[in-house]
Amino acid sequence: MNWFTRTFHKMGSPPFFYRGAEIWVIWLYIIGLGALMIGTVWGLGFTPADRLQGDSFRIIYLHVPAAHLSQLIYLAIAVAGFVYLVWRMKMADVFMMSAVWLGAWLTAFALFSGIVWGIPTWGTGWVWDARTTSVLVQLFLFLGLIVLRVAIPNSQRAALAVAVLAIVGVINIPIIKYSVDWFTTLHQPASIQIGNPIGIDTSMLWPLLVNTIGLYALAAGVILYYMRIYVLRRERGSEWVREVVANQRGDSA
Amino acid sequence: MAWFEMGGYAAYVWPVFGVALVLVIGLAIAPRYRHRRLLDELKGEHESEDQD
Repeated sequence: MNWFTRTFHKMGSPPFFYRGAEIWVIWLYIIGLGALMIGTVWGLGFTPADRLQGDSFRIIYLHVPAAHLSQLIYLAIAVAGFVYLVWRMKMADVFMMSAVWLGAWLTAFALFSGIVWGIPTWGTGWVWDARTTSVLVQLFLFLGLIVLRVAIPNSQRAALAVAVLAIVGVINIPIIKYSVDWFTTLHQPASIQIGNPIGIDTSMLWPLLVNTIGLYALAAGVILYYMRIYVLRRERGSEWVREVVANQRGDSA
Repeated sequence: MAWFEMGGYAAYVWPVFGVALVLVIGLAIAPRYRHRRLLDELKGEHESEDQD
């Protein structure tokens, strides 16, 4: 076995995952928070104002990364749901549990920042069009996943229900993505698309990239942190958890 | 300072960045509390088992 397959197999072992993931969480937090700080200061203080939108365009530095990441998290939960349905892999369920709240918060923030941005730019905070409505649907899907988990006491059945809802809800993702191209909407089409020239000046683009990397890294760190917690909870009866708990004194992890 | 006025858009820009700051801090430290609570809970469980 080479290094990769060996590591992959070990990651399936709960004690190895719990201990090994800690250093990843720390580094993802450092990179994530650091990049977010740099990108935000850069975007607020060291980029020119937009010709049409003035300084209100700076909301893009938070709105776009949050909205984009929230969809990616939904997609990742759906993939994990599929993996759980087909192979009953426990870690897939642990991932679904760990990512769902983050997805809900990021979606809520994307909606909030969009509403605030819309007031000066569109002349209205909210319109019931394809983009805004499909993102609202995504928020309800995340909340649905959370409620299902709480409402079904049997944890295996809850995991199955969550997986099925996550997969069904994937239909909403292309609707969000293409809503600005297919339908008439106030929302502008994406400025950065694969295969098209970038529709944003590089002086404005850099902080957006830095903040996107920062938010992605922080989100990965937070999800991994929750995965460690839920692995610990799931394995609560086992010897290695006893060891972890017994050695906890004085260790602030 | 002119910078704080954000070209007249201060009422839109700052609330969004303020909410984001609170959200990022909240999301980042929440698992730490969750972790500590679980460890305390497990410790209690193990101690009561050991007494049996």
